Amino acid sequence: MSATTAGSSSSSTGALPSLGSTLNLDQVAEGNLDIVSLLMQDQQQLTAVERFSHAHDAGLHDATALAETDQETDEDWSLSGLPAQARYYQSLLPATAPSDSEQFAFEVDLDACSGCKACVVACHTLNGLEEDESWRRVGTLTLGQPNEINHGDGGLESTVAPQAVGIQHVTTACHHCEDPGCLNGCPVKAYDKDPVTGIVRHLDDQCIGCKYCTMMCPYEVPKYSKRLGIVRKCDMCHNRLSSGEAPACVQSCPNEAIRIRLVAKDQGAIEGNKALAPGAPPSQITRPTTIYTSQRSLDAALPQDGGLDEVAESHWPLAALLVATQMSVGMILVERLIAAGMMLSGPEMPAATTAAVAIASLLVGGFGLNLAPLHLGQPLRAWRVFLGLRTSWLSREAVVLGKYVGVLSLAVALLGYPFVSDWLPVSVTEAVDAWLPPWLAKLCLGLSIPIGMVGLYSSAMIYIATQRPLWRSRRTLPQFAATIGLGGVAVTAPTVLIADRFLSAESSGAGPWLAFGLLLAGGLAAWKLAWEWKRSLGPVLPTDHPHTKRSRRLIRTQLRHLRDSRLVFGALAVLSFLVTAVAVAFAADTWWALALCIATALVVVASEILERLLYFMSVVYDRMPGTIR
Amino acid sequence: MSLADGQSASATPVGLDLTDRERASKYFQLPQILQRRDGSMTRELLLRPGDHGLGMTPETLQADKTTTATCGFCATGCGLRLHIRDGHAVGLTPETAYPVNLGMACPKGWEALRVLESDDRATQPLLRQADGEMKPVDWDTALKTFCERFKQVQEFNGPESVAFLSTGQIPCEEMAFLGSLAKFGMGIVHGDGNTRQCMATAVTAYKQSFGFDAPPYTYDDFEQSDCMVFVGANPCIGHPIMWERVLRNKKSPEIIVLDPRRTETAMAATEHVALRPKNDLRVLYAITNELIQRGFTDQQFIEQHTVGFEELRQHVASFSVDAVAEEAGLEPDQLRRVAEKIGRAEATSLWWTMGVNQSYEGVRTAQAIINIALITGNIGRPGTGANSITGQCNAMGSRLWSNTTNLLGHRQFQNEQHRREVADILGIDVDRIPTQDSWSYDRIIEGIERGEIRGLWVIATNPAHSWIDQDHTRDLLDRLDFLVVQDMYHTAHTVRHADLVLPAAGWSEKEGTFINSERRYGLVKKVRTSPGLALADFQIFRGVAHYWGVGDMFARWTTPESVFESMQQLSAGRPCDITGIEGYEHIDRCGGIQWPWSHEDANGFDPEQQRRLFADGGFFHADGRARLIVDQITDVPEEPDQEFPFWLMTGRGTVSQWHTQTRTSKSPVLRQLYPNEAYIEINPVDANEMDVLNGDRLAIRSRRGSAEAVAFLSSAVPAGHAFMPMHYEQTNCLTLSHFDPHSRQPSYKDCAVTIQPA
Repeated sequence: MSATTAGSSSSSTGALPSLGSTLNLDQVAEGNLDIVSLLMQDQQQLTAVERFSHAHDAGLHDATALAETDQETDEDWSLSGLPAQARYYQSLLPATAPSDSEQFAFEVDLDACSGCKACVVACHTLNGLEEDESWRRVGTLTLGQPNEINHGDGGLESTVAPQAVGIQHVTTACHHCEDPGCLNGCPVKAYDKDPVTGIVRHLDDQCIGCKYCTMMCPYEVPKYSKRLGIVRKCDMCHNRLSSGEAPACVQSCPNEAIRIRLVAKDQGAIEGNKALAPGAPPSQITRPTTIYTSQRSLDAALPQDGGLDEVAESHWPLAALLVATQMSVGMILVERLIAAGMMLSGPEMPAATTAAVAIASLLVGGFGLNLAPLHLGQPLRAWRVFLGLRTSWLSREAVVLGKYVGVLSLAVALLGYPFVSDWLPVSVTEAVDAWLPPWLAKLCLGLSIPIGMVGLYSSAMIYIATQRPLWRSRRTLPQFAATIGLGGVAVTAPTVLIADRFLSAESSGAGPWLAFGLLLAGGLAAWKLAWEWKRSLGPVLPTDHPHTKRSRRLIRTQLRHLRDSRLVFGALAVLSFLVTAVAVAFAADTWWALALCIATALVVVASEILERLLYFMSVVYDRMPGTIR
Repeated sequence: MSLADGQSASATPVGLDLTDRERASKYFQLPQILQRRDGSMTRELLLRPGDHGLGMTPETLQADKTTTATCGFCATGCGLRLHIRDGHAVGLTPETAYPVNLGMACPKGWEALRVLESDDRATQPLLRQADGEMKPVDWDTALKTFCERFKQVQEFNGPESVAFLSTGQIPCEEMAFLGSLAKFGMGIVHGDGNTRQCMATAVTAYKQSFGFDAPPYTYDDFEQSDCMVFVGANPCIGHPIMWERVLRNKKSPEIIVLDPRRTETAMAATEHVALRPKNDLRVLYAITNELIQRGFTDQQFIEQHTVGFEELRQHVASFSVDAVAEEAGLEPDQLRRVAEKIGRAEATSLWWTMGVNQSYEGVRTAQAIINIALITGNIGRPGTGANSITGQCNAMGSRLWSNTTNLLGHRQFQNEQHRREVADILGIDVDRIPTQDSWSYDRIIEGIERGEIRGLWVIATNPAHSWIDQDHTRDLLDRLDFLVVQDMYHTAHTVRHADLVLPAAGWSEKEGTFINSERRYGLVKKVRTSPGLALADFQIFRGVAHYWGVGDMFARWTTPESVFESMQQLSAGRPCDITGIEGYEHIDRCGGIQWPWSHEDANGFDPEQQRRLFADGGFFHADGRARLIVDQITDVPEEPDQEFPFWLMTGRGTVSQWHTQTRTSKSPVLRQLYPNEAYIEINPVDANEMDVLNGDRLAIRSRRGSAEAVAFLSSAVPAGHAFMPMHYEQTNCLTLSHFDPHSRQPSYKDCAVTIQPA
């Protein structure tokens, strides 16, 4: 029997083209080929899939022919013109497009999610994303409080696990929020909330790669691509939805745990701490539309990555930008204050000194602003930065600080004019003298202060607007404001001394005022350091907010070197302010007083940049559940 | 395609009009110069309608044709639709029409092609030099050295001193070639597979109970059951696509899960029996006792189709629900409830995986499960069965075709008649077939220690990571005179110990058939070129045969399909008969074909897609009756004590990790889906006592060795217990080398450790 069967089977296959090898060992025996070449040659021949592919060329019909397991829908799919896979996902899509008052949303049935993470890989594959890029993530919650158990001598006393104990996976992607943080924060309108579907789409060719959306989105959705210099994010497979297909994650979930549904727009304010999942940010920030459903209570659940925080990005160009612009405005402010004080007490501030401080301030501010593009992935597109003025603090910062530099530049030009007018053509000087009143320089300088302050406020608001508790205004504003004072005094002092020594015929007489400023700055520096100690650098306090505790753990462990440096430089700054104050008070015109001033400026710049790096790197925030990595 | 008319919305929607211009136009849009809504970066992600029944497809997946192949990771055996462009596979999506996975795949399947692209791929043979360095050599040198050295070892120590360790990861045809070449050609007697680590228990249990190694079910049974009992199985993580079928069950089935951990599957259960580890046999006997006492048995079935009921009844009578519940840490009422649910259900199916198989009394535990199915008449009908869920993609093929501990086609080496059949079909001298059984894996390892095994050929498996009591194993591997490792990756742990490394082609770089968990032959196609000099295992075996001087013996086997024809002949008249299959094209056309499919079965028709065994109540023992087998409970060999107070369990960690991670670690996207560093799950109560926080590093020590891992606090693990995934190298430094006496399968899930902050 076996012989006939084999015979029939081999004859039936024999009629078909061979799968691969057409060579045989006879050729080797004949010396035509050595065996290794033969094997290599066989290895290189691929399966002639034509032999099989006829079943697939037919498209939908092969699908209906093969799968006998799901017959109820066969007829529909063979007629609909939809992809074969549609039979499994069609019930997971809404039957109609959203009405005026509706939008699309993801709905996740947590009870059906078994944590396989196929959705993550399908999103990666079906959207043609980069090697490790996916717009979906799956986090894990551990459920249930530890059982109070009697740990016997053997140490093996276990209890019956209560129903509430266990593990729950949570799949998450973009929540296509009603009030998207990414969109509001974007300075160039690279986000678009589709008026029909409510899908929050990212315009890849508009994005300048500033990454501000990665801070503004509470759900860590937009992800930056180094290769492209832009962020990318989930668009709910808009392309697929518009041709009647399900998003990649929906069609790949073996358990049909993800579906698209219609939800009402403008569901109104969301109360208090309501969040999508344990540990997730309060939904009131952006009003996410994703709906998670579960029969289980997840209230007592803890994210698997609970307490495991990673050091956040340093954003060093931003740290430098912040410190530099704050110092720049601070210098003008300090100079003007001293000038005002001097006016009250006698001699006026020499024009050369004012000009010198203005120039130094412009250099420092300009340096900072020129660093900013370094953190952009697509700096050439950055000229559109004004587009977001209506909603984006980043736009406002860029525009207002741009104006600040403009006004300051004008002030510098006008202040410098008397010193260079001798070398200018007469036609120019005549025009200037005729058209520009002499008080204009001071006016511009004075105006630069409020404009600068508005710019600095905008830069602070960039971070405050993220609604990360550690960046709330009560923490951010004092810290940033102190830098204005400290940086202003620290850099103005040597500038004034240098101007006195090299530009003016005689001493400006600003010495006592400077010394007073340095003394105040010493106090301010001490206060600031103590303030940071209490809020982030020091040991955990019983009153700490959970975020503060987490941040302190980061600072204590992974960031301890940065913390130590900040403490050392902070203390040095206090000390040098005080020593320099004494030096300037009693020997303002000596070399060593100048040297001390310069050293103080350097120490203060370093200590403020360290403070700002810590501000960025130690930030922790609420997030969707993650996993241990 | 759009719903613009709004008419068809109620019936079958074929698309949603999302480009409502009228509505959209109410919104102001900036000109493109200010707001670039299109451009090269936007177009990079643009999807285009795919042909061949595919949906919208990104550039990277655009195909000029598609073809289906069976996945090469686990035994679910999903059909993956390969996107072919210019003859090569450029990507894949799960095959919608394949009857196994119904258009779904787990992350491993999705990334099956990506793991092939790695700098870690072995691309040329490597030979260890006198100074210990590995040096690339050509195939001629490699194969010559292979033969010279092994022949040398055999000459000095006897032909039995060379052994091979095979795998459940290569196609049947390659297994058959390897087993035949090694045993009939090279005179090797001892060879075993890594399937010893996963399925040996199920094999032995089925053989003894049913008379043949025959998992009786088909995946449709998941959908047809009214009550499913999972023992030591976590399909949510281990077999997510089977879990898909469980969730497609529309009968609101009872799901009963026996597992010490509260796994994802236990979470989904209607009844989680959170028993203490290694109380499963006891608990199953108590349930059996309860079923008998309460008359939930099918007396007619028992009388007509089984042997041994009276012994069973007497044996389990001593396992009272109350006493067993106490010992197992359970509520007696729960066990009564479970028995009632099993007993009352129209169709109860019982499923087990590694929690049972990897146990020192696994065979008897599996048989306790089989007993329950038999005495309640839950076999042969839709939604029933005592069903072992298989591990590896071709563990089932290994059971039939590896020619290791069974002669080809699940025959016996000691049986002269069997030897003659094989010799006749293959056209070889019957004297070339060994007359004794092969040693099992553990005995081969022991043989190295005793100096009986001096040469070893390891194919597509990674004992230096996966074998139990790792430090000792590695030490033994280094004692060999000659170790050949044939693998896809030159970074596999066992390669470090090798004298010769043979670079192998991987899944989709070669052809052949896999047999999945439900006995379904599926096809693997060659749609990628292998890197460098890597050769399919099949070609390597052809080369070895030639260089060994036995090329003529295998002259017929020039292609995998020619071996498949021999397999068909070898299967004729046996329970695994596949003589009705008309070749690879037939398998492909049908979406895989389950064994048996004999010439007589076929009779000109194509097979039905969902076929199960024993519909007629006839089993494979000579008398046609199944055996009810019971045994005494064995004591736990290493109970936790003062010095080593924790019970360590091991197992699968996440869906995205496979075995020793030689493959899954190569995919950047998979790497994001699991902890890259070893971790250990401990109960928060224990953590609290040790003053350990989530994420802290822990030092774990057993009597064998030590390991470091990150603490993951989870109440899913009972206090006093710990769980470590097997995918991390360190785990098996801790495990205790002990085995099921019948199946010789290692017992990975019970040993005592101590845990401290690192």
